[in-house]
Amino acid sequence: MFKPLWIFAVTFAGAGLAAGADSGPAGEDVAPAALKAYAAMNYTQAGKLAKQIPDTPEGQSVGGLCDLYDRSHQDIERGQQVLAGLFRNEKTPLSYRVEAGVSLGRTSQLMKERRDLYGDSADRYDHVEILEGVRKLAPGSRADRDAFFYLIRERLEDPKLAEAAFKDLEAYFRDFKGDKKLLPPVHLLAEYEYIRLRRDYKSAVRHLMEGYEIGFANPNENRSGLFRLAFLYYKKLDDKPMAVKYFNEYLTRYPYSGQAVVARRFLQELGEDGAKK
Amino acid sequence: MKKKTDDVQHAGKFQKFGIILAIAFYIISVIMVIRNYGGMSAMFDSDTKVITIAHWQLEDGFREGVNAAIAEYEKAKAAEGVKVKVNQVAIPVRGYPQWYLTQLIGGEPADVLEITGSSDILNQYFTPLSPYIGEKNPWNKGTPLADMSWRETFSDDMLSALDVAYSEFFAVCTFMHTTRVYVNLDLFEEATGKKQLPDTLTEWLEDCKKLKAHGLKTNRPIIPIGVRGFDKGTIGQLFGNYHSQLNTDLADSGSPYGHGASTGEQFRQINAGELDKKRLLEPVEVVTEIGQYFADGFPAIDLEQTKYLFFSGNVGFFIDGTWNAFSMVNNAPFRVGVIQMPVLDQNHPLGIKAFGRITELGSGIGGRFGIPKKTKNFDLALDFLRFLTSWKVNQLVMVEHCKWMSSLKGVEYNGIMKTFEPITNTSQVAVTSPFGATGTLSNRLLLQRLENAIIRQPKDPKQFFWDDYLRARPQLIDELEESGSGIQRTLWSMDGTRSALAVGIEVTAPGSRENDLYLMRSNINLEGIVSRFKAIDNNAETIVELEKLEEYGENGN
Repeated sequence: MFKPLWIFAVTFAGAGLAAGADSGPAGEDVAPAALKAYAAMNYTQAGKLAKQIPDTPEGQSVGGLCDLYDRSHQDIERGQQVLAGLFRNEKTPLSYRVEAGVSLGRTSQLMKERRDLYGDSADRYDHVEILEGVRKLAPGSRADRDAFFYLIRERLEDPKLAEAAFKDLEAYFRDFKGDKKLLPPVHLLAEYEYIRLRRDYKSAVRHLMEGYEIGFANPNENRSGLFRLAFLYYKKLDDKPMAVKYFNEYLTRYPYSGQAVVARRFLQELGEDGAKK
Repeated sequence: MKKKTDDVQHAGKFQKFGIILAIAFYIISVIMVIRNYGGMSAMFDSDTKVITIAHWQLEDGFREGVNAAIAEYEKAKAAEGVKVKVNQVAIPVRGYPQWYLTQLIGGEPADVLEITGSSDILNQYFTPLSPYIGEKNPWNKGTPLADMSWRETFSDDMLSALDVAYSEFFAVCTFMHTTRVYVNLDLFEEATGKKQLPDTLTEWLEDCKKLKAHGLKTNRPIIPIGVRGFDKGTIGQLFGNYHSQLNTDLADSGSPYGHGASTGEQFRQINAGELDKKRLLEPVEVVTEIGQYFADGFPAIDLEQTKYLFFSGNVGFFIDGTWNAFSMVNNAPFRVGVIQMPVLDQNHPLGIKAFGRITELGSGIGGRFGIPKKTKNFDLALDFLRFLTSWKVNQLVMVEHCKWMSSLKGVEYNGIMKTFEPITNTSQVAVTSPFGATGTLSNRLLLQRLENAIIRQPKDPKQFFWDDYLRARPQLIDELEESGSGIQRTLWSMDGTRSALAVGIEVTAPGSRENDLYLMRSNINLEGIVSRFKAIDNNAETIVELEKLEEYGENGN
C-alpha cells in the first residue's frame, strides 16, 4: 500500500514543507498542561501556557517559577514578586502556596550567598521566615523536608548557631511524622556535617546507617554509602564486626565495582575472625 | 546572422543540458530518499515500521556488528508478526555534535541516538529512561541475566549513565574500554632479540633503550614509544597510572570523610608536615624518564599521525584505548601484541615504594545511547535499545564484531580480548593527583608542565615541577574561586529541578508509578546537593591550604 504523505514529500523534494504550527491545549486543559510541562522542565511550553491563564493560581505559579528557573527568559525580580504574592495569600491552594514559599525562600537564600552578583536585591525577603512558614504550613511533608534541609545547612555554617543547629537536627529526626523515605538526603547531610564540624564519627555513622537502611535514591550514593559505612566502622570507630558485616554486604551487592578489591583487602586485614574481635 | 543562429543553438544546447542535469539530480534524490528510508519495501508498505540508529563509531567492526544485530532484530520481530526495518547511520566524530544538534532541533532525529553534549540538551531532547530501567530486559530470557532488572545487568549498575544534574537516566551504556600498550612484535624482536614482552617498568625502559639503539644502528627513524602528544593524552594516562601505583595508599588516609584522597586534605597534610610532598612528585620523575623515548617533536603529533607512524613499522610501543585494538591488530602489516601498562617494580629506584597495578574494575564504561523525545516509534526504539543491550546481542556486536568489551555483567572473553579485561588481581584503586584535580586549567597546566619536563629533562624533575606549580598558584586560586561560583549556579539549577519535581509529585496520583518516580528523583536531587556542599567546602579548604604551600625543600610550617 502507498504512503501518500511520503509520495507527496518525495515529489516535492527540495521545496520544503512547513511544519504545522504548535498547537496547544485549550480551555480547561490549559492549567494541567502547564503544570505537566513545568514538571517535565519544558519551560518554554510551560511559560507559554501560563500566559494563557494569568488569573489562575496555576498560571501565576507556573509563570512565577518559570521566571526564576527558565534561564533563557529569566526575570528573577518578577518571579519572586509573583511567588511572594502567592505565598502570602491564604486563599492560594496549599500545594501552590508551599511550592511558592520553598522556591522564593531558597532563591533568596542563594542570592544572599552571592552578594557579589546580586547585591542586596534579595534582602526584601526574609528567607528564614519564609522557609519556616512553609514548614508550619505542611509539617512532615516533602516541602517541610526541603525547607528544613536548606535552613539547617545555613545554621550549621554559622559557628554561633551550630551547637543549637545540631540539637535541632536530632529533634527533626525524632519528631518527624511524615514518610520516612523522605529522610535519606537529610541523613546524608547530617553524616557530612558531623564529620566536617565535629569529627563526631559515632553520630555520623549513625545517620549514614539510618539513611542507608531506608535507602538512598541515587544508586551511586547507595553504593558509596555502603562502602563508607564499612570503612568508617573499621578506620574511625574500630568496630570490626560491623566493618566485616558491611564489607561483606558490599562485596555481595557490588562485586564488579572498583572498590570491591579494596573491600577484599580490608577484609583480609581484619582477618577471618575479624567479626569476633 | 549565422553567428546569431549559432549563439541561439549553443544556448539551446546548454538549456537542454541543464534540464537533463536537473532531472538526473531529481531522480538520484528520489532514489536516495527511498534508500535512506529503508528501501521500496519499507516505503511502500504501511505495515513496516522504520526506526533509525545513529552514532559516531567508525572503528572497524562496529557498523558490521550493529548490522548483524539489526538483522537478528528484524528476524526476531518478524517471528512475532511485526514488520520492522532498522536503518543505521554513522557520522564521523568531528561532525557528529553539529549533525546531532541539527537533528534534535529539526524535530526528526534518529530514534536511537548515541548521546553527547550537556545535561541541558539531554533533558530537553531525550526521553527519561528511569521508568524502564527497573524492569527486566525481555530479550535476556534464557540468559544468566534473565532475573535481573535492566539496570542490574550492566557491570556498573548503570552508574555511568546517570545524569546527576537532572537526576535522570537519559541513556544506557553499550561498551567498555581499558588502556593498553600495543607492541610491534616484529620490530620488538628484531631490536631486543627476545620474545618476552615487558611486564615491568624496568624491562620496558630497557627495551626502549634497545629500540632507540637499533634505530641509530640501522639508520631507521625508530620511535620507541608512540604517543598522542598533541592533546597530551598519553602523558596524562602515564602520569595518572604511575601516580596511582605510587600513592594509592593515600586513599586510606586522604580524606576525613571516607576512603579517598581529597586535594584540600592532601595539601593540609603537606603543610602540617604529615605528608612529604616529594611522594606526590615522584610520578613526575617516572613520566620524565619514560618521555626520553618519545619521538622528537612529540608535542606536535596527534592520534592519527601516531597511528600512521605505528602502521609504518617505526614505532615500538603505542599506548591507547582498546577501541583501536581491532584495527591495530587487523590493519598492521606486522604482528601486534597487547600488554598492560608496565608495573613499577622493585628493580626501579622508585619501585620499592610502589603498590603494583591498580584495578580497572568499574571504569571505562561508555557508548551511551538514548531515545529522543521526538521519536515517532518510542516503544519500538526502546525495544531495540533493550535488544542491543541484551546479553547475547551485545556480545554479538561488541565482542564478536568490534573486539570491544561489553558493558554487561557475566561476559567472558577469549584470545587477544583476554588482555583487554579490567585488572582485578590487585587490592588497590586509582587516586587522583592533587596537581591536576582543581579544574580544567589545573589539569591543562599539569600536562603542559609534564611536557616541559620531558623536553628539558631537568636534573631534578620534582623541583622543576614544584617550582612551576607554585608559580601558577594565583591562577589556580582564581580557578577554584570561579569553580565555587559555578557550583552556586548549579545549586540554582538544582533548585529548579527540585521545584519541577515537586510540581510533578503534586500532579500525579499518589502511589502511581509516575508519582514514585518523581519522589525518587526528588531524593536523588537533594542527595546531589549534599555532594555540591562538599565540593564547595573542599574548594574553600583547598584555597586555604594552597596558599600555605612552601618552596621546594621546605615541608610544612
